[in-house]
Amino acid sequence: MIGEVAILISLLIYLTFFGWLGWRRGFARELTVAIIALLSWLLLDQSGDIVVAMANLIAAGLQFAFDGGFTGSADEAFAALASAPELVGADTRDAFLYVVWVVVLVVAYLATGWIIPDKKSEKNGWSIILGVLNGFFFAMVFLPSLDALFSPDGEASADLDAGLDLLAMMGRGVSLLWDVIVAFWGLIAPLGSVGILILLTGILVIAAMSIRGGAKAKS
Amino acid sequence: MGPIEILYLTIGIIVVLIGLARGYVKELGSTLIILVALFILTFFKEPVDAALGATAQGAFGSEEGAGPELFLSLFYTIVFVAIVFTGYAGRTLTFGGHPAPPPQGLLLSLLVGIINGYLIAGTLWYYQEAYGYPFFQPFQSEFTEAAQAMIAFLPPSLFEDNPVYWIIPVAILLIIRVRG
Repeated sequence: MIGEVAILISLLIYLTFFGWLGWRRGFARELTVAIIALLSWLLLDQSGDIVVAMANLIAAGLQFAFDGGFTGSADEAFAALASAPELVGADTRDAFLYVVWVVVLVVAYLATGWIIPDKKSEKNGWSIILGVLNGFFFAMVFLPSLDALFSPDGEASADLDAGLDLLAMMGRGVSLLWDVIVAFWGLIAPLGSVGILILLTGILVIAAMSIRGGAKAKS
Repeated sequence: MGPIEILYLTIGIIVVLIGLARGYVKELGSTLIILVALFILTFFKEPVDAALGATAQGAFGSEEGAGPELFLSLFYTIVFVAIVFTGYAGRTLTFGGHPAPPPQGLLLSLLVGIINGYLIAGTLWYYQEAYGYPFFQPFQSEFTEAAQAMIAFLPPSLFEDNPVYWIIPVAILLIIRVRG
């Protein structure tokens, strides 16, 4: 019970932070970040090999230059290049793409803050929802790494190698949502009927109070 | 046939969709009527059961095992559905004003729709459960764990001993409506 409440409170604090961030940054900025995060994720998932090949090519070019390919003996430089290991191998591919995605995300956050002016990024309910959705998306992505970081034996309960697997990520999202529902129910269930009545009355009162232009009847 | 909860969840989802289409300002009026119906039907259940049960016993005879149960279940279902229909289609208690803009308004419509779905589908289920499923006997042995858990939280069974609790949200909503 206490564990469930702790999960719920932690997640609420986390999502509230992202909701607040969404409100501060506004709709346009949050939407741009959400689109960039999702598209870059899909792109790296589908065409990650191209990014890896490009990274290896750039690394090889630099290696060639540092070995004197442009100034000294080109043959020696080519020989050194041929024997040098690849920057990103098959075993480090997923970790590399994961880092690339995180860098894209950080740049997107910073760049949208500079490029999109405050006036063009309206602060409304949608910006809060987008902020929360972004937070939820990041939680799904970062969860396995954080899990491994904070677990006593340093092992994640989720598969870390599945870092860029879209299906695995969606599975984590559904599991996270389900945990929230279970934790929320863990709060309501001990109160029994009264808990349900309090919840129901609370929602109805919020709805009735939010009606604009007066709730006076016209029946 | 599938689990029984699928049937009532489907009814609930349809009510939620209706709620989304109508908006929460209109739905709140229906919620008020449903809550009052729940209070009345639960408050007078004992005397109505006794009176109608005796009448049904006389009409159907004691050898017709499911007769009185079928009659009572049908009676409550029809009365409840009639009240709900009046709440949706008739000229009833409405809240004036405009809904909050989306997404808050949409979210509130969804939440109020879920409440109405729970109240309507749950009450319909309760009047089958309370009288031993006179319409669908074969289902009883197939209940899943989820269905058994849900049965404990069907609206009329929440405050069977003290249905006055249902008046609390009604009173608060009426105060908000009158205050304007």
